[in-house]
Amino acid sequence: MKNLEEPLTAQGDYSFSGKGLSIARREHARRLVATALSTSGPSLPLNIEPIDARLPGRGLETALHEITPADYRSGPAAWGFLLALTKSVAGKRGGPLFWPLEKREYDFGLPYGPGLKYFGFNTNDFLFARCTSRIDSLWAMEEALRAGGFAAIIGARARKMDLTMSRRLQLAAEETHTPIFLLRSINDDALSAARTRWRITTLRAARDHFGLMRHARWHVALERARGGKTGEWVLEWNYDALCLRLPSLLAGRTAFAGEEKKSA
Amino acid sequence: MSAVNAEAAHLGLAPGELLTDARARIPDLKTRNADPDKDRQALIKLARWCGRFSPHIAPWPEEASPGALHGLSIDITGCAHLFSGEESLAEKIFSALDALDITARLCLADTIGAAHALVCYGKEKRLIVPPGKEADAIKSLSVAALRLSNKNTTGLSRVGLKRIENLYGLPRANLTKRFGPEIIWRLEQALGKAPEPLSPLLPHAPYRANVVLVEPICSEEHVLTLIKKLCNDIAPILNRDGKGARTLRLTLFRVDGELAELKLGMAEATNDPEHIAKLFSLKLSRLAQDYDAGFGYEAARLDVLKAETITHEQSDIDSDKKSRETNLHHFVDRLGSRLGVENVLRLHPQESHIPERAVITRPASYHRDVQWEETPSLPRPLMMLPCAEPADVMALLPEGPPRQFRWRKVLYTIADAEGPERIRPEWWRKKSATARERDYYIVEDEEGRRFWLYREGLYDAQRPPRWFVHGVFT
Repeated sequence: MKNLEEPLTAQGDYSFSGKGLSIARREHARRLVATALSTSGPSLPLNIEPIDARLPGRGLETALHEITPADYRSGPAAWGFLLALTKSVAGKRGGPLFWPLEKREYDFGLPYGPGLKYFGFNTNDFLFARCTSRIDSLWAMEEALRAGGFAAIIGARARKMDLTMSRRLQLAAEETHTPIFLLRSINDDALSAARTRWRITTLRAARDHFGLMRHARWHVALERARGGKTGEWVLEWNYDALCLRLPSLLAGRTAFAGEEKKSA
Repeated sequence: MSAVNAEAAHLGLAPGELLTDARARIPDLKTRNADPDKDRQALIKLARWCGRFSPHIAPWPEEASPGALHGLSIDITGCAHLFSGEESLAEKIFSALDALDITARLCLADTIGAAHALVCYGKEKRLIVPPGKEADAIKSLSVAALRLSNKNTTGLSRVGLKRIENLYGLPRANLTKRFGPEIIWRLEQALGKAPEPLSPLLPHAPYRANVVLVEPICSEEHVLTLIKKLCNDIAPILNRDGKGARTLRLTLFRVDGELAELKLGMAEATNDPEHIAKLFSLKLSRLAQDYDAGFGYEAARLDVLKAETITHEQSDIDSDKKSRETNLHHFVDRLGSRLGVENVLRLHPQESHIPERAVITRPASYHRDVQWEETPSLPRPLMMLPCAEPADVMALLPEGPPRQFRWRKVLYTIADAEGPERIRPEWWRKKSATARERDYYIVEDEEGRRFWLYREGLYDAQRPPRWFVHGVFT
């Protein structure tokens, strides 16, 4: 497992060259290590016992989190889970949500107001920024993190975002205790300073008593959790309670049998 | 020929002659095609450049007119003392134009009419008419100097009234009877007895700050310092009146006569100099590639184009909420100045049941929170395609739910479908008069991907129905 042991100083632009590091760089590196090892702000519990138990501080840290789909066409499902996490966390914190949009990263369409409303969000909370380049969207996210006052930042992780960039976001997130959730594309294998990484696979939705599709379901794998443990669960977004839940076995109907097999 | 330069005039050429005649006389004559529109543009640019002397400048003539004399009227009321007197202001204008290789004539008088006449028909290159002496100064000029129509000019000379002094003391009634009101009107304007408004090129700015530098500056860093200084100059004035700036314009004057303009719009009126300076610095950094100081900037002006009254609220009650709001507004401003105000968006509901028309985005700077309707009773997708994409669909029954569809070259087998939800076109809108009704289905494929599909039209119609993918569920 590559949780804690990830080297922080030996990569990115802080390379050890023959002459050694300059004092300023060494100081910066020391600070990076110190911040990386310290716990970052208060944790935000998801109120799902088995998951909270595996996260450091029994909840999501106010830091950088990444959500990645299992395959390309699971992109929408990953967005669903990302927004479910956002809603669970933002509901507790209160405040606006910032979402920079860069068209190239949104193959499956752009966020839709009534859909967000149906999902349980207050649509007045969203602030979008249409960005034309990845640099702009990174800049906007960092600026939002440093400004503070946001319940959460949502975004798509730009391809080619390297360790330095993600570390910048992570440091900014720690500074103002703002969680940031990024969608990571499947072919992105760059290193990242994210605190957790989740992998999402689509599942058939839960049915209600009339056999209608009711609650969205995903197979969620916590692939990486710095200072915590990994795990796999089936989770559903409950459209009645507007919260993330483990599906209750009693309500299980036809669709559930298939899931057990997959999640096993 | 529409214009000749000084040397050509010396050789006896004049505007209005035929080019072939001129070529016959002077075989190696160099010519360029006349471009009245470009002339006009150059004049307007020069007018803006002259903004350093006074904010009220009007170029004349009002429309592009080839062959006519072109010039600028500058209203220097209240400006001369800034340049230590009228003499030295005239000197400054003259030498600045000279530095741009522009041959100019300049006349300063109490009325636009008199100044215009002396500039166009006077003998001196630079003239300052003492207050109240217009009548004397223009008396020996031709009547054409009064900006009369051609008909009236020839009419006057036909009766022997060739110079302006001939008109002094003539009975007004007779002149008006014979030539119409124009002559008396223009004469009185020149003598300051009738009003003549100046319509300035640039809109009036209620607040402004100016800086003229001794030495031109080039580097971005110095420009930023300059901007900070301007902001600090303007903030106390705004503060005194209890106002905040909503729209600002910064003009940088380059040594070679070029101008750089930056415009700023704010989400909330502000008189915080640091915030304004920060926004300008973001704008400047955005220009990075296009930033071209040339040989340097020598002057700068900051105009507040739109100011609003700032309401001072009691700060101790709920100060946290207030400061959070200000914080958000400042963040929106910073985003707007880098990405463009139109790219920082909030959602705004519209009263329509057509899905793509139910919500629009609006610039956050102009957005006020609105009450959204209750949560939609039927599921709506989280993500919508910018425009619906056609899909190949197979259904068991013509009117039934789809069983299989191919979208973006991938085949999806549908395990379950819900619907239809019928949405009819809005017949009261002209555009949707030809639109067809849609049947929306929520479909789930075997692996649990959920889509929002619709069928446009019915099977019994003349046109076969078409299927589209419109959005994706989580």
